[in-house]
Amino acid sequence: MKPLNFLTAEPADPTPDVGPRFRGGPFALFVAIFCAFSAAGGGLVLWREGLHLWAGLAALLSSAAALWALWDLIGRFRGHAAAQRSHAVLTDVFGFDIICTCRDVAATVFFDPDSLAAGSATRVLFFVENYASRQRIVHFRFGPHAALGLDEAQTCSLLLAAGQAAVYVLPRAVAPVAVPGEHDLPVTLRVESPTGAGLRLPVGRHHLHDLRTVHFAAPFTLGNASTSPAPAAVSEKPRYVSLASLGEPAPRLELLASVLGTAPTAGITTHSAEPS
Amino acid sequence: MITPELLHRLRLAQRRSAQEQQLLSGRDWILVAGLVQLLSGLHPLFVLINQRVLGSAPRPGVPPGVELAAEVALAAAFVLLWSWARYAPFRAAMTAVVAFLLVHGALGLLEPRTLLAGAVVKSLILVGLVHAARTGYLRHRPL
Repeated sequence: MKPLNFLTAEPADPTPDVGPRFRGGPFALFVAIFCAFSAAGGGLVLWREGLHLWAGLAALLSSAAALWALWDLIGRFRGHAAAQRSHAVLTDVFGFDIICTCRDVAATVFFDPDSLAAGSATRVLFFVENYASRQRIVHFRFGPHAALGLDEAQTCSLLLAAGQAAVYVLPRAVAPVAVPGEHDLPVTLRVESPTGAGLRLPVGRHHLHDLRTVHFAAPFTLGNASTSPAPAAVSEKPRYVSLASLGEPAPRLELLASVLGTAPTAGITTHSAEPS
Repeated sequence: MITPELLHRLRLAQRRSAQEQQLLSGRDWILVAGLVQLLSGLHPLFVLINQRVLGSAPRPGVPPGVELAAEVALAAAFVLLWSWARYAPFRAAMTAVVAFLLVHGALGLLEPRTLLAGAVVKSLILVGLVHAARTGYLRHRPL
């Protein structure tokens, strides 16, 4: 198995995981009720048939499953009382159009600028926000896209602390010979929960459906080639910047402003935050 | 602090990206409609097998062979339109809506009972196709 190599946002978010490992939602309630009925019904039927050992075993196993599910439900209610409110940076502060989450992580991917000339430079912005009370590892798989110099699909893995919002900024140069017109960068999002699902944090009035995999098509419009025949040389490095933390009273947007404040210039160089 | 101009620029670019994402979902609706359409062809297939193999009495109305051919042809058309929707999502979705209404309208004229048979499934397919057309239309509307 390939070793997990993920990026941590700067500055680091020390927010610890809180809440139960297992969420204990409607499925746990169903398991608790079903197993309780099975323990009582199955145990009594087998007991009356004279199969006392089997009756005891059936009752024991079903009761254990029911108690385990019940414990998850109790953990859910206890955790809800202690859960902090998410900053809802993507949905409320930025007002982004977010239609769903992927295992409690809201994400959006787009270009800035998204209208550019062939041979110029741009940035791909991967905004992510964790609406869970436990950490997540976010895997973005993007490409291939010839115009962006991506001959094959690449993956970047980002660590998100509980309730953290962050942005991964990936500078790219467009090939000077790229065909003008509308382009889409295919992006697939998958999320891991290495320390358990945890609880869903309250996110204002928004109801977001949760999916296992989310696909994006980040669009950009390519005009005619710039006058310079050489490709844009950009010195900007990929950065993964934290925007909000549960431990802080308000989101920290000045970092985003400092990263995006200037137009991208100069060449892409290798860096520790480069996707693998 | 982030400036209103930067925030506005980000919102515009994100909204465009979100519309592309919805477009992916709209395109998938056409494919799902095709698959559901194919599944709804199972009923006339069973009726046809009953008549041809088991020798049951033919029912009045549209022959099951015609109904099956119409359902399968419509499903195949949806798969082709799904492929076309990559390049022209709005036109593909509108063509799918029109084809669906024409085929089921014609079957309904021949035998009104076919409109009621599987009405829930037909309604779901139509909702999906209208959703696909809506997302295709939104793409071309200025932000």
